[in-house]
Amino acid sequence: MKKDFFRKVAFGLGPEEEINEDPLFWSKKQFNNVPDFIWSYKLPSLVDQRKKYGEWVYGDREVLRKKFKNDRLMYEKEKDLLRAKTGEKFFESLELSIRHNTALRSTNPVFERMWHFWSNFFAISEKDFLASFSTGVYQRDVIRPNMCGSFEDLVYQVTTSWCMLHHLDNAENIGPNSKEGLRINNKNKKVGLNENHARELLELHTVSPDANYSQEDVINMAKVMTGWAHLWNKKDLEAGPIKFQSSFHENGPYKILGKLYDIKDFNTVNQGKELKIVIKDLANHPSTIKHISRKLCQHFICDEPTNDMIEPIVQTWNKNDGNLIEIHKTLLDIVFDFSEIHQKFSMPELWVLQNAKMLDLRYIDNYPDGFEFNGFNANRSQKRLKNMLYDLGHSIYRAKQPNGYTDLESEWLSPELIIRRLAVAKRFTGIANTNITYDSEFFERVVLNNFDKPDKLLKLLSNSLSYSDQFVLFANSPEVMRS
Amino acid sequence: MNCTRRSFLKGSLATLFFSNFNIPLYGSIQNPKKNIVVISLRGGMDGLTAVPVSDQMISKYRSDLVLNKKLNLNSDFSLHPKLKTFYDLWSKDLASVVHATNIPYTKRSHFDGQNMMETGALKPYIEKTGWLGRGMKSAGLYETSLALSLPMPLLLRGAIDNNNYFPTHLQLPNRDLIKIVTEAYGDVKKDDLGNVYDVILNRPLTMQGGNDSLDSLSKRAAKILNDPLGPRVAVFDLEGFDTHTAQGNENGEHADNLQDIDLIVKNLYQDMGESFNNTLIITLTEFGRTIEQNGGNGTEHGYGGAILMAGGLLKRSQVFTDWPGLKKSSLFEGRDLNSTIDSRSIYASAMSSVFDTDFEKIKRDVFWDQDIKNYSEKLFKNID
Repeated sequence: MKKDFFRKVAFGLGPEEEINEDPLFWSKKQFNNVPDFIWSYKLPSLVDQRKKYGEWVYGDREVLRKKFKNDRLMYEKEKDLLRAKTGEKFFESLELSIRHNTALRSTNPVFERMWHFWSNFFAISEKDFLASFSTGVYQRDVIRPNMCGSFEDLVYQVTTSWCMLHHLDNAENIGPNSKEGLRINNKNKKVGLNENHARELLELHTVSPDANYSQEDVINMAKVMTGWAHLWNKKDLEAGPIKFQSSFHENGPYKILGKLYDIKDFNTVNQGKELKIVIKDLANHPSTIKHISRKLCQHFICDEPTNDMIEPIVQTWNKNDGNLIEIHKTLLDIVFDFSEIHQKFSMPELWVLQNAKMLDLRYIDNYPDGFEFNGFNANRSQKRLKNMLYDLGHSIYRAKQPNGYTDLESEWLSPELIIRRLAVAKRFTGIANTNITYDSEFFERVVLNNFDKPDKLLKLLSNSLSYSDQFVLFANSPEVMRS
Repeated sequence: MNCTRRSFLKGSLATLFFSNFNIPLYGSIQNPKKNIVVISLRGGMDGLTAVPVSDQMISKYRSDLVLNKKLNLNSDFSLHPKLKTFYDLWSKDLASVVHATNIPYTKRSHFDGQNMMETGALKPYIEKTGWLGRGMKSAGLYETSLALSLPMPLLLRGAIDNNNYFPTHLQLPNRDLIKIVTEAYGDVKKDDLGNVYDVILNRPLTMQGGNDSLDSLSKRAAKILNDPLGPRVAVFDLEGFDTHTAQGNENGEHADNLQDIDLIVKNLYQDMGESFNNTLIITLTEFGRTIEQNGGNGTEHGYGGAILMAGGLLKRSQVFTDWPGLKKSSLFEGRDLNSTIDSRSIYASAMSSVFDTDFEKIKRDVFWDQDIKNYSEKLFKNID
């Protein structure tokens, strides 16, 4: 009976949950379509949030700074009001709550895990105000709806999204020979290519350095990407909608990874379509397939996946033209097959979710009936989840770099980070379900329900001298720190 | 525009209280204890902004980034005005620069570059340990490192046991309970995770309290390094040097970043007292930045850059360089300041001096006997 499997591909089983007799079938059927969020209130859309981002930036940069340029205190005060009004101190907590509520209450928790994976794979790192306004909704509105299609479509949608284009500076990527490029450079300003997004598209999102691309390839990729940026106006600043703008576009032909792209009529009917054509090739490149198959195994099975794990996914990918449903299902087969051999370290957020699921911790039920954002900061209990993740070193929308958070155990092994696990587990008592008696019988039931080899963990828990000891020992045990 | 960049450093007043953690295990007392403080500058520091060269060519390449106010070092080089403490130390023979240097990496990816600047290898992702960790191991140093960051940097991995400190307001469970957790990872032979619990169990009292502003963190580091029984290796991690847009000149994003470096140097200088004389502060970055400014008044990923060094273990003030020049033909791939000194030679020489270990041994144990040069004599004070 592979009980561990439920923790490996989801968050474990709750105290009242029955063990499904066929875990593999149970997990695979979660991928046939995109499930709804478990959230009974309004879900902000990317358009709403881009607008709020714009109001915040414009209000601060263009209005308040000028209005109060000689009055620092008034400026700070007005800025705080603007924060509340635009939700700058609210939406991150809200998004995390939507994410966790769905993960813990969903009947498709495996899908949720996979969503967390892709959201981190196409990470938006901490830049400007993206984390405060739009990274959460980007994961919901750009990544999630594309998880049951092809990888190619997913990459294209991500690459042309406002969040990613802004995150990787593509508005600064201007064709030096484009109409606008020539005009601006004639005025003795200097504009030109910005390789940032092009480089990450190759390195992180598709082929990886294994494909041995050259600096020339990066430059050509950057050329293809010119023109993809927000529409700028004085009021929206950088928060305008994305539109391909041919006046900033560097014409081809382009040569990338040995292939020549000489697309005719790009200035009339094919404007901006080069990107889609190039992404199609990149997304289906053998290096991409290998790179991502490996990443999937590394995330769900072990830090150093072997070829016999990776190869079946590569084959499924090739056979189904990168269909993500099939790729996910094959991955589940592999995780199932290898589940007794390997343990995978749980990143902090996953560790919180696994503990929360198994012990029925409650930290999200703090949005009042009929809740809708109406210009206020998150209150203390609404901020609790965000603070907990910060303390654990895993602020989901604030990865330090575009490659997201690492899932390798060695990267998380610092005393200070592990100290946080001890301290946070001690506080689990404060978010325990008040309808549950957390006695030794309860913990025994949880352990027997979730672990194929429960003996050591049961023995460890028998050392508890107090109510809170049980939480600390359980959460910090080797069995729970890895799954 | 980048207010959120440093939010990992800002935070409310925070205290960390560990009861029963008063067992300092930091071993072998060396008299005097010599310290090395490495400041990782992630994103690629622009060496030509930190230490500009007196060359007319520069204003042709980057007119919007040129500094009007500079602190003069010598006839060829000057210093960014935000590096004030650094300039002050220069006049006391306590600061130097290595210029036109980089690790042997030319491909301009942050991730590969940062991996290589930490491992010291010639290819990314082939080594699992850092040059500093291996250097400590080679010198036989035990439990003497300290990372002032939340995750354990790759740079320090490979040392026997590492510790890191980053303040939190959270309260720890009591020591007995941590002991039980630790034992669950094995009695004698623990795995890597178990070893971390073991380190936690034995943390010294100096690693408590403080808040997580860079100011407080660097003052705390001074205190911890001052402890004769404390660690001798500290690592800071600074981010945000990747200034593709609005890099600025005297003021701006790169200027703010340089000010962070200066703040660390300042607090260590002010608070370490005598032990500053036995300390070397040295920076590390993955690459320099392009000479030409880009369309967004920023710079792209480049190659050659600079290393900043401060502390009493320096031989004297100097800009140590084999300057390649800025003519188009001298630039690397026609766009970047070239690197004429392998940065790893500097780091190997530094470790050899600070750890009192034979350079050849460091070269062999840490850098696989690759072609690096010994600059210890030229840059650092010798033993005694």
